Parts: sequence; structure tokens; C-alpha cells
Amino acid sequence: MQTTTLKRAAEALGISFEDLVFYRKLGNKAFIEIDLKLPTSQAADHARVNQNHDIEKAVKFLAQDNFEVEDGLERIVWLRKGAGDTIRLIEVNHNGFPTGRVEAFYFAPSEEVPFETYLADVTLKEWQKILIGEIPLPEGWSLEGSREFLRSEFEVESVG
Amino acid sequence: MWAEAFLEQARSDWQMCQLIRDQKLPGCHELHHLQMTCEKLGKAFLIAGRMISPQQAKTSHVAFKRFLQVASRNPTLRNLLEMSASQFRAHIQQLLPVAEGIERLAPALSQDGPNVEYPWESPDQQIHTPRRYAFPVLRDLRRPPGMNLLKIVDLVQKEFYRLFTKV
Repeated sequence: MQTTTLKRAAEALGISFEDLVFYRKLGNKAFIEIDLKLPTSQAADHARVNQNHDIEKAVKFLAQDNFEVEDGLERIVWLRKGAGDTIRLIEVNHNGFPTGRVEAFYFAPSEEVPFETYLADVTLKEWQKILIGEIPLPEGWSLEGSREFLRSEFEVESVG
Repeated sequence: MWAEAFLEQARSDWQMCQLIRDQKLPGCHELHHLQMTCEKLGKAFLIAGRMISPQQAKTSHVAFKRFLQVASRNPTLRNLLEMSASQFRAHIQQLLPVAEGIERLAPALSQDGPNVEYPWESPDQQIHTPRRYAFPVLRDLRRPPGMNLLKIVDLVQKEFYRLFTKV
């Protein structure tokens, strides 16, 4: 697809051209299959509705995005047990600020990630303490059945 | 709710901070209100997700700095600022040292050094007052990273309900 067409698509979606190229490179179907023959507003809706509609896709989108944004992230742990339709993530960050506990921030559902999301940033040392139970998880959170995403599993471009 | 209460007080501190900035008053007063704004905002964000009690939040001293770092991974906030992932990351990275400088102005974090509330003694046994002290972070606030930090403070307190709370 030509650059000018992609720029038009990015404008319709309300995202930057660079981000659109990035999402397409990730293999995000909605962004690859965007139908530019539709009027721009419909094309944007089409892409938004189709992306990240299941929780696993949304988590993978967040993982890819977060590895890209924060180069200190070593791993992202998705805690699934008892979470229902809520995304709970612990992100192990070399550049994190130690607080000695798991402090999760809440992000409201959005078009890109249509699930309630809790994101806790911990240092490597804190993560090790979590694993041996020295730092407790928030009530109702469990590592049982959790899934880990490592930076090495993702194609992450350096953002300088 | 506690989150709303912390937010309300943070907004009030922020109003005072802006009011004072326009007056010819010692810089410690502007910084004091900015530090209180950031502290309460950080705690409001933590409590908003209902994963931490207000009592636990009270003992969290780096909540705002940590919030800023985590906020850089919020695609919605990023879109609101019309920035790409790389732009937003760079944007937040430049704010963090200033945010840390602001947080350290609280007496509890100042390690008996410069703070915005009480006199202190420097290693050369001089007694200093916040009123007369030239806080380096005040200079930082007049430069682009500091000005961007103030913009983020303004934005996140305005968009708090839309981005960071459960309906």
C-alpha cells in the first residue's frame, strides 16, 4: 500500500502514520485489512471494532506496546486466575522505582483496549520477592496459571 | 469515595499553585503546593483502582513518579496527547527527574535537607529556610521538561475520571 494511502488511513484512525505502520508490522489484522474504499469515518470504525476484541489479543497488544514504550521492561506477567474480563499485569522493569509492594494503577477501558486494566510496575528485586512470597500480591491476585511475555519474544524497535 | 476526595484536594492545591505562581512570592510556596498536588494526585490514582486502601496510599511516597512511568504505557492518554509511542516515552522520560525533584521537596523525603516547609541545617552547619533557598527544581520548572510536567499535571487531573477510574 502506498505511503500516501497509509497516511490517509492513519488520519482517519486518529493515530500517527508511524503508529499505523507499527501496528501493521505487528500483524494486527484490523490495521492490515483496513478498507480504504470506505468513507474515512467508517474505515476508522471498522478497524477499531475489529481490533483487540478478545482479551488475549488485547493483552498481546498491550505487551507489545509496553515493551516498545519502556525499554527497561524485562517481562510482563499476565495474571489470569480469578480476573474474569479484567486484565491484570505485573511488569518487571529495570528502570522501575522500588516501593516494596505491588501498587497497581487502573486504566479505564478504551477503544484500543476494551477491558479494565490493572498495571503494576515492579523492579527485578521486587519481582523475586513476589515469587517467594515476601511481597504479597493484591487481594484476589494469583500467580497460578499466569502467563509470561518476555521482551525477547517480541519484535521491539528501539525508540531511542 | 477516597479517590475523589484526594483528587478534589489535589485540584485545590493545583489552583493555589497556579495562583501563587503569578505572585511575587518566595518560590517555596509554589513548590509546596505543586508537591502537594503531585502527592495527592499520585495517591488518588492508586486508590482509584480500588486495589489499595487510603491508609496504604498514605504511606506511598513515590506514587506520582511511579504513576507517570506507568501512565506512559496507557495508549488512551498517549492518543489524547496526540503522540506516538516513541514520542510519549521520550516525553515522560524527560519529566521523571523533575517529578522526582518535586517529590523530594516533601520533608519526609528530604533527608533533613532542602524541603519546602521547614528550616534545615546543611553539612557546613549553615541554617537555611525554604523562604530564602534557591531551589534548583524551580529553575527546572521554567524549562521545557518542567513546563511539560505542569501540562501533564493539569491534563491528568482534568481527565482523571475518563482515564483512571472505575465507572
